[in-house]
Amino acid sequence: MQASVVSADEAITSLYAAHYRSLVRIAAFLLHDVGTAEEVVQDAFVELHGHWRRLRDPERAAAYLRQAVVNRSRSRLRHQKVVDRHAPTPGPAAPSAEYGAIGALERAEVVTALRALPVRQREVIVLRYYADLSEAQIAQALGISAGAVKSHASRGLAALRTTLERLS
Amino acid sequence: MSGYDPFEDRLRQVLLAEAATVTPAGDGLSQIRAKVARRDRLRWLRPGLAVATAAVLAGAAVFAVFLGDSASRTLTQDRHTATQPPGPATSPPTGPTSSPSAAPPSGPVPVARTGYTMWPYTSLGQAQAAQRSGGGQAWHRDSAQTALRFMGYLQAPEVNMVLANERETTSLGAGRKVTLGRKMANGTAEPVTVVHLVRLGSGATAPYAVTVAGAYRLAITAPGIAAPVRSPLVVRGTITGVDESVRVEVRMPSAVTPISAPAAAMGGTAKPWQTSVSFTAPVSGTGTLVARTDSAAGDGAAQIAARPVLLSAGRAPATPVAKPAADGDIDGDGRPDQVTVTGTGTGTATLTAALSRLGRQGVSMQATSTPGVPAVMGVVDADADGYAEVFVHVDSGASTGFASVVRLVNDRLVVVTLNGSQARLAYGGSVGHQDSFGCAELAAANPGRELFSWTGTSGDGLTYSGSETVYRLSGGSLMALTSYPRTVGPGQAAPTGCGSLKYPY
Repeated sequence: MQASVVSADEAITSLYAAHYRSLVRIAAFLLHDVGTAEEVVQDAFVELHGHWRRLRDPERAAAYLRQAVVNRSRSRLRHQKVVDRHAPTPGPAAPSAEYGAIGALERAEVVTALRALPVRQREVIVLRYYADLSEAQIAQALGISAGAVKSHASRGLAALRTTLERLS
Repeated sequence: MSGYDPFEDRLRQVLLAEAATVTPAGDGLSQIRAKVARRDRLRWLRPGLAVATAAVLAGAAVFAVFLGDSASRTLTQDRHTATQPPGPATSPPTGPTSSPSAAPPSGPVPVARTGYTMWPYTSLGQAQAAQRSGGGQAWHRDSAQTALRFMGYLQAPEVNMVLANERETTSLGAGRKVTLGRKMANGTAEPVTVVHLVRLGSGATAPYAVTVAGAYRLAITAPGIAAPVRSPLVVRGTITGVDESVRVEVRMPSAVTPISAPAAAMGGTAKPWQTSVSFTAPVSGTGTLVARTDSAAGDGAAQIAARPVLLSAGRAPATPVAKPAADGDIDGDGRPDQVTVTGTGTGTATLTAALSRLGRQGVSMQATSTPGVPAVMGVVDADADGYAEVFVHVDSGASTGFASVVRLVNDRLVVVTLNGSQARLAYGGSVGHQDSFGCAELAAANPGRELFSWTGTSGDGLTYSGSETVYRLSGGSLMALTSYPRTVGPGQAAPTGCGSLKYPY
C-alpha cells in the first residue's frame, strides 16, 4: 500500500481503528473525564485530517496525533477547569476480568496521586507506563528534550512510589 | 530507564487496569467526520478565500464555492444542463409547474446555517416558527413558486417563466435549482437567473428558501456569500456580454424596496466591474445583495444574480486589543471592567459596568427574584471577537438554571436576544433531562470560538440524547447557526465550560 495515494478520509479511518481507543485513554488520564477526552481526541483527528497532505506517513501521523492530544488536553485543563465538576465520580467501575487482581482501592489511590502530579510529570508517566512509548517518542510528543523526560519521569515515579508503598 | 523495577511493573498494571474502565462511546469516527465536514464548511466561508470565479457559468460556479465539495460534484453531474441555455419557448409560461416536488430528505439532514438563506426565511428558526404555526401557504412547499415569488421580492415580476427545475443535492441537503426566464421583446424566452433553494427543516411541510441566485453572464464575486458587511459596501463582479450597465442594490426581506441608494457600474465584455453601494440597515441581519442588467429594449431584467450578506447596522467599532479578549474586558481595551448586577425584586435586574474605555453604563433585563439570582457568572469572550461577554444567572428552577448574556454593541451594553426575546441559556438537569452551554474552541485550522448549547433527555438517567446547537453572536442577537444530534452516555460529561465561567450548578 502506498502512503501517498491514501486520502485523508481513508487515513483517518484506519488511524481511528488503530489508535482512537488508546488515545482516548491517554487523554482520560490527563483530563479525568471520558467525554472531554473523546472530544479532544476527535479534534486531534480533525486537525490531522487538515494536515494530511503534508504528513502522509502513518508513522508520523500517529506521533502527530499523540502530540495533538497531549497539547489539547493540557489547554483543555487550563481553560476548562469547570469540566471537573461534571466529571463522573471515580466509583467502582467494573474492572475487566484480567485486571481483577488489581484492587479497586489501589487503582483509585494511584489515579488520585497521578492527578496530583504536576502536568508534565503526569504526561510523562502516562505516556511511558500506559502508552509504552520510548523516551524519544515522549520527548517528541511533549516537545521537550529526552533529558527533561528522564527527570520528569523519575520525579513523578518517586511521588507515586510514596503513595503506593504507603498502601502496601 | 533500565533495570527491572517491580514498582514500575505494578504501576503499568494499575494504569492498564484503570484504562480498561475507559470505554469510548463508539461513535467517534462519525463524530470526527461530522467535525471535518463542519470545519471544511467554515474554511470555505472564511473571508479572503472566498470566490475564485471563472464565471462563465457565474451562478453555478459561485454556488460551488459556497457549498464546497459536494456541490462541485453536483455541478459536474449537472454540467451539460448548465452549459446549454434552456431551449426557447418550449417551456410552460407562468404558474405552477409540473415540478416533481422533492421527496422529504431521509437520514440525517445538515441544517442550513443561519444567514445562508436569504428569502423568504433567513434562518431555520424563522422557517420552523412558520412551519409550527401552520402558517406556511402551499407555495412555500413548491420550489418553482418560491423562486417565482423571489423575483417579486426583487421587483422583477416580468421574470415569470420556469424554464427548468432540477433536483440538486448540496451540503445543505436536498434542494432544487430553478431556471427562470422571461419573454423578450422579440418573442423568445430567455433565461434570466438560476435560483438555488433548499428546504429549511425536515418533513413534508418544510418550506423552501432561496440560498443564492446566479446568472449565465453576470456574477458577483465580492463580498463573499454570507460575508458580514457594512455600509458603504464595495461590490465586485464579472460580466461576459456586450457593454452593459450593472445595477447593484441591497434588500432586506422585511422591506419592499431596496434599503440602498442607487448604484451602478459599467461592465465591459468579459471585464470585471466594481461599484460601491451605501445602505441603511434598520436592524442587523441577513440582507440580499442583488446585481442585475436590463435588456437593451428596456422592458425588464436581462440577468440577475443575488447572494446573502450579513448586514450590520451602525458603524465599525473600535479595534479590540486582543482576540479573544482577556477575562473581564468588555470594551476590548485590554483593561478589565467592573461589573455588578442587582435585582430590583420586580422581575428585573440591572447590570452596571464601569467600562475603562467608555465610562459607566447600565442595562436592565428580566430576572427572577429567586435566592441566588441575579448573579454574574463570569465575563469571558465567548466568540473570541475581542470583547468579553457578561453571563448573568437570571433564573433558577429546581434543577435548571438560566443565563442571559450582555455584550457591547456599537459601544453600548445590550442584552442579547434570541428570536426576538432575551436569550436564556439553560444549564443543569436531573434524571430526565440535562442542559448545558459553553463555548468551543474551533479547530486550529480556523481559530476562534463558538457559543453552543446542548439539551438532552433520558429515559434511564444514564444516556442523554439530544442535540447541540451552535450560535453566532451577531450584534445584539444570538443566531442559531447549526444544530446536530449529540448523545451523552454514562460516564461522559455534558459539553460545557467557557473559560473562567462559573455555573451556580
